[in-house]
Formats: sequence, C-alpha cells, structure tokens
Amino acid sequence: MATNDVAHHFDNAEQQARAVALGIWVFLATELLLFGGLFSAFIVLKVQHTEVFSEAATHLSLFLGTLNTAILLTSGLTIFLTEQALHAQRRTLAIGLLAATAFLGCAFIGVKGYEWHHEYQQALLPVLDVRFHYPGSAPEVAELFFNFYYIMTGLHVVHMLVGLGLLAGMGVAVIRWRQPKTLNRRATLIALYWAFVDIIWVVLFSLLYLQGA
Amino acid sequence: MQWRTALLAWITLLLLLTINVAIAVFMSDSLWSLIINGISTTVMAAIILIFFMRLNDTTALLRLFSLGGFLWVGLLLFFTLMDIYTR
Repeated sequence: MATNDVAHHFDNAEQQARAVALGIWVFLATELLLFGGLFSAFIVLKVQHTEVFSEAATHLSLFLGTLNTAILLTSGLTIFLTEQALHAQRRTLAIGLLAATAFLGCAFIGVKGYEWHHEYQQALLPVLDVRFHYPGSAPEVAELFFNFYYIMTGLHVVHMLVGLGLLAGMGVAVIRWRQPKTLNRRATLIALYWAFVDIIWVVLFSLLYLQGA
Repeated sequence: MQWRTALLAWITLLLLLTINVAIAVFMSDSLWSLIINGISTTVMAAIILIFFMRLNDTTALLRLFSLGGFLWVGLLLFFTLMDIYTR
C-alpha cells in the first residue's frame, strides 16, 4: 500500500530508495564515460608529448590545486554528514552541514576563478581569440595542453554549479521540513552526485597538476 | 557510527593528498613518482566510492553498475595505451 512518501508505482519506501539509487548510478556511469573520453584523449597526448606537457603543467599553481583538492574532499565529508543528519531527522544540524558544503563548493569555484584569471593575465588562455603566448618550447603543443586543461576543469566547474543548484534546492526543502522521508532520498542523490564530482577532481588534479610539480 | 568512519576516510584522503603532492615535488623525475601517484589517486577514488558513495553498504546490483562504469573507462584507457605502445 503506497503512502504519501512513496510513489504509487512502488510497493514500499525501500524499493523506491533502491530504484532511485540505481537510477543515479546509471546517470553517473554516463557522466563517467563523458569524462573518461577526455581523460583518454589527454593521456594519449601526454604520452606523445611527455616533455612539453610536463613543462606546460609547471605553469599551473600546485598550491592552489592542492588547496582546491583539500576543499573539495572536505565538502565530500560535509555532504555525507548532511545525509546522515537527515536520516537521523536532525534538521538544524543538516542545515548547518548543507551550508558548510555550499560554502566549500563556492570557495572551490572562487579559487578556480582566481587561478583562471591569473592564467589569463599570463596569456595562457587559448580560447575566444584571446592572445596565447607561451614562453617555453613547442607553444603549439603547449596550447593543446591548455585547451584540455580549460575544457576539463571548465566541465568540472559546470558540474559543481549544478551541484550547488541542487544544494540550494535541498536547503530550501530542509528549511521548510515537509515530508522528511522524501528529503532523505534527495539527500542520498545529491551526496552521490557530489562525491562523484570529487572523484573526477581527484583524477584531474593528478593528471594536470602533479605531473608538472 | 558512520560519521566516525567518514571522518577516518576524510583524514586518510588528506594524508594521501599530502603524500601525492610531496612525492610529486621531491621525486618529480622518478618513474616511482608516476607509479606512486597513480596508485595513490586510485586509492583516493576507491575510498570516496566505498565510504562516501557507500558501496560498502549497498546491494550487489548497485555495486555491479558502479564498478561496471569504472571498468569500461579502464578498458578504454588500457586498449588505447596498448595501441600506442605496440605500434
């Protein structure tokens, strides 16, 4: 028998929760293939132009990359704890943890924006007809590196912005506190999505920043 | 206590990040640096998958779907690199 918290086509809440989790994992698998294609293309170019790519990577800020990784890993913890707080029906704690996650997400984007601006000032932004001036060897190959850098980090930031939008919607729902069991399911979805975005960044950090350290 | 496990997972992730950066800075010319960074990054991704995405506490079907996605990307990378290195 369906209740208000369970959609009519599910037998019970547990079955619905399982279906929701399966749905988000299928979605994340398609996202993984999107980023997987980019990772593969980057690795192929890295193998073919190892020295130029390593030299180009030295123009990125390892400090800011590391700081952003720590920020995102911490936000992964806070979103996980948000989910736990909602399951325990602790509304105030959940609101605080959601706010902390959103703050950390904004901090990540702020640091990334600062980094992009710094690279733009160094004429290392090969998009939209902006003048690209690379001081090292083989600038045409280095331009490839920076193309991939902006595409991959840009796509990641787009995912972060989607995540922040989901967090904002979740925040409003938690403040209203209607149908708490539905909130649990939403929190699980958002926590899975956010953790996935964490994983993508960990790989990006390793591919882009660590190779030129 | 799941929050305790999550806290331990987070501390481990930060430790691995520190190791990754330290090795990249101090052993940058070594092949070992590349290998250790690769292993460390894989372990970090696995920790997020297992603890933050709760693969340790889910159904076999979900584990299959999640690991399937990573398996296909792994195969894509493996065969692409095999093509490059065996030409």
